Amino acid sequence: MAKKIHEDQKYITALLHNDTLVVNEIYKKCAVKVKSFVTFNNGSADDAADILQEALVDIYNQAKYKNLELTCPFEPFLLLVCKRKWLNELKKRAVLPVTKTDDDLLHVGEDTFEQAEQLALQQEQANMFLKAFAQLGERCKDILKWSMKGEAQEKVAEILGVTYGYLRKKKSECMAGLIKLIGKNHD
Amino acid sequence: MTEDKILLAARYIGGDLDRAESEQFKQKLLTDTELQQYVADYKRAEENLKMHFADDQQRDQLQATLQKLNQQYFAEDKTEHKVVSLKPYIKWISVAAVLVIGLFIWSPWNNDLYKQYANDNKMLVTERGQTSELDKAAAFYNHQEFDKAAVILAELYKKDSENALTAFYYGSSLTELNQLTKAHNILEKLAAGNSVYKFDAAYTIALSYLKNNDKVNCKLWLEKIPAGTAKYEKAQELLKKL
Repeated sequence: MAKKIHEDQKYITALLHNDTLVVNEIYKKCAVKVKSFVTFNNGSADDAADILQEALVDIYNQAKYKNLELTCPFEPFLLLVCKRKWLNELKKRAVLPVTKTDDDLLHVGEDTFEQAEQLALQQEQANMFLKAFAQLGERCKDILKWSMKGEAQEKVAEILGVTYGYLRKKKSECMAGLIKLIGKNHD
Repeated sequence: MTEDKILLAARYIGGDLDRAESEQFKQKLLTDTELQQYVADYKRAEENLKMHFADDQQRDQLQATLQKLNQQYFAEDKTEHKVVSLKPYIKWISVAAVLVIGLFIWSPWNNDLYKQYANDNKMLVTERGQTSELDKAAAFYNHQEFDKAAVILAELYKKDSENALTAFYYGSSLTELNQLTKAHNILEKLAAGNSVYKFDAAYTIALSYLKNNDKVNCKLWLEKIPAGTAKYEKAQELLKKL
């Protein structure tokens, strides 16, 4: 069952169009909160800035390339994404978090958790594809990289110095190889 | 999945089939579950690759916006340092620091001037018909391995003491190695001659005196370098500092 899109989808639209005013509004609402969470948890203001930027770019990416649609309010969603990101970063740095994370999350709705979880899963999937891509042969890497840039495929063939027919065939083979690798890595 | 099917699926997703082919493919897709799965996998793979590799100018623009906002919303922290009163010991540390800085500005040691103005010539061997020995010497010289360069150059100099290039770099190497008497012999001959290395030789001699804190002789040789030559500006600059 498809869920209703939340009116806060406008924030995501603003990210997609680089609507500076609305993006500034996001910062006005959330920057202080992200900063206090991160600095309270062994981070610096710079760390907080990085985390917020990363989170917003992740949301942009998934909206643009994976049709992310917001079914929950934006602010708690973004804050939750930032928190998860920072807790992961702390894990990487082998530092124990000090916050009782649950307290301030009590009033966050189930749908927000779900959406943040979904975002994290999609991000993980993207990394998985990147890993599988790295296992391909050099020729396939070249062909796929160029094919995904967004240029017309005829132009890509020209750049790579092959015929369009060859590119098409080779690309489909490389994609099949990648899909197979994903299946294998997943098992 | 057969190769045909794989190619067909890719062309279908890429919008590369004509109408009839496309219809045919859609019909097949209705019943072929393996094909359905493959099309879904393909689309997912393409999404993920595009996310990584697309030339996304909008994303670049967004990143720029975010960076600006980051400075605005996160940077003020750095200026929020507390004002600390100057404790007495900090005063003394400050005084010491000022003295140290002063010492650096005054810099009674002249070696630094030498380093600053030392010959930074790279030995370039581009003339035709040069022996490979000369190439080797050049490589050593350019890597500042002057001892090794000098050995080879000594041989070449012995064979042909009229070759200005060999003479100059042999003399320069010897200067670096602090064998000054020998170096001066060779370089002074060059400086008295009419080769392209005439004034480079004079400059090198001047610096060799500087290295040994003999400012008088250093100045004397620097003054021999006339306006309009490559080393003139550096020589004048150094003269002012001495």
